[in-house]
Amino acid sequence: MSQVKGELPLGFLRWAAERLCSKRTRELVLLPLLADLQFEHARERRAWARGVARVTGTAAFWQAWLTCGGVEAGRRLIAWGGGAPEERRAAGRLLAWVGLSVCAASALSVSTWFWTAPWSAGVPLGILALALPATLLVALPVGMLFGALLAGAGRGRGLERGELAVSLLAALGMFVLASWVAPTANQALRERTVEALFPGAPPPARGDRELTLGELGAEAVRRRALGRLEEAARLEVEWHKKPAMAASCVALTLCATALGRRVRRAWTRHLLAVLVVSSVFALWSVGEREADAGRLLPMVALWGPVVLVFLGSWWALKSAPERPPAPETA
Amino acid sequence: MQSESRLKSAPRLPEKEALILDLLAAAGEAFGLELVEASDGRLKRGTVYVTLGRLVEKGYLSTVQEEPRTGSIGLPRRLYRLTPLGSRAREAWKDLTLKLAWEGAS
Repeated sequence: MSQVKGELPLGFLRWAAERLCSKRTRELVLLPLLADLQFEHARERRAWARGVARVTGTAAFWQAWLTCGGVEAGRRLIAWGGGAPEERRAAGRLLAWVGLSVCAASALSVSTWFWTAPWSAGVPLGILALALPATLLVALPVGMLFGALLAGAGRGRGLERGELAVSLLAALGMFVLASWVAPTANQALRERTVEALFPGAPPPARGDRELTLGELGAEAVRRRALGRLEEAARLEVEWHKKPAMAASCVALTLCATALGRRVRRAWTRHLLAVLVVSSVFALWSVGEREADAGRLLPMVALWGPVVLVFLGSWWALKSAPERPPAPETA
Repeated sequence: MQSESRLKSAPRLPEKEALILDLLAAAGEAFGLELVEASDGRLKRGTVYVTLGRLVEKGYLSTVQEEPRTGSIGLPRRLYRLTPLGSRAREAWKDLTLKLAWEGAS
């Protein structure tokens, strides 16, 4: 007997499978996965084990969706965003500027890391390259903001479809990077660094930032069931951080468009952009500390700044005057 | 050197696909999650179905839906089996890698 009786867990995922992907992905990949996950969930007797099955199952579902459905969605987004020549030009301009901004932000971030971690001088450069995914977690949202700002400088228009497609693709990439690539690379960096500096020493245990999305969710549910609430809250903060950082790529692109439309002087636009991005990272940092201490819900701490930027930028764009701003004066 | 370049131009069976074919050859038939359990961590739950789907499309695997049972409300699970083409592809891949390894060593 292997089919589920009595209850139907993961119903939302089935709803998502039926709407968010092609027939091929649904029938060959997502529905067989869901059937096995439902079976696994129903087989568990203890409530916490069912919770773990639900969370790891949800993570496995989204990973599968991202692997094939995500590629498919990416193709559709590119087709949608690159339809007309003007949209293609806008997307290309944004991509070029985002690429440059991400490189600059990565270089800045890596050099700061070298200054603040003197031990890194003794580690081979090949190993330090493993720090790049973690660096990109900061560089990508910052790069999206400044890239969009520079690409749309002074033209005083709204968000082009091509630009929206680029920002959605960046968010998708950021989600994969934050959820699976960066944690794996972080742990590999820690292990190889310890091996290079202290040969023969045991490899370091995985911390909160070295767990993938599914592992974080499962561990949080397990610790909550064991009554270790503070540890569970810390893991939930890390869990929410990944999609929130991905969503920040879209929010910051929108913010850059709003700044481009509302603020005439280039230096004021850039100053405000620095202010916005610093505020977002400061709010995340404060929120994370408060959520770790159990004084704030992890969801509010991590999603709050993103929602604020999104709503603020939306309002600024909607209430902007119809006429484009005057030519550059700075 | 010569065998290396020959290996690059030969048709390839990716590692995960070869592993799934091996596991199914040993088990006869299996559900996706059973393959993950049998793989000792080499297959992941989030990606095994993507690879299985690809193998079904290539014609290397066939899939059978479990018979619905009275009272069950969950989705019917899918059993995967090797097709004759899949068995031949697996054997051919093994022969090829063995031959090239032998040529490389000699």
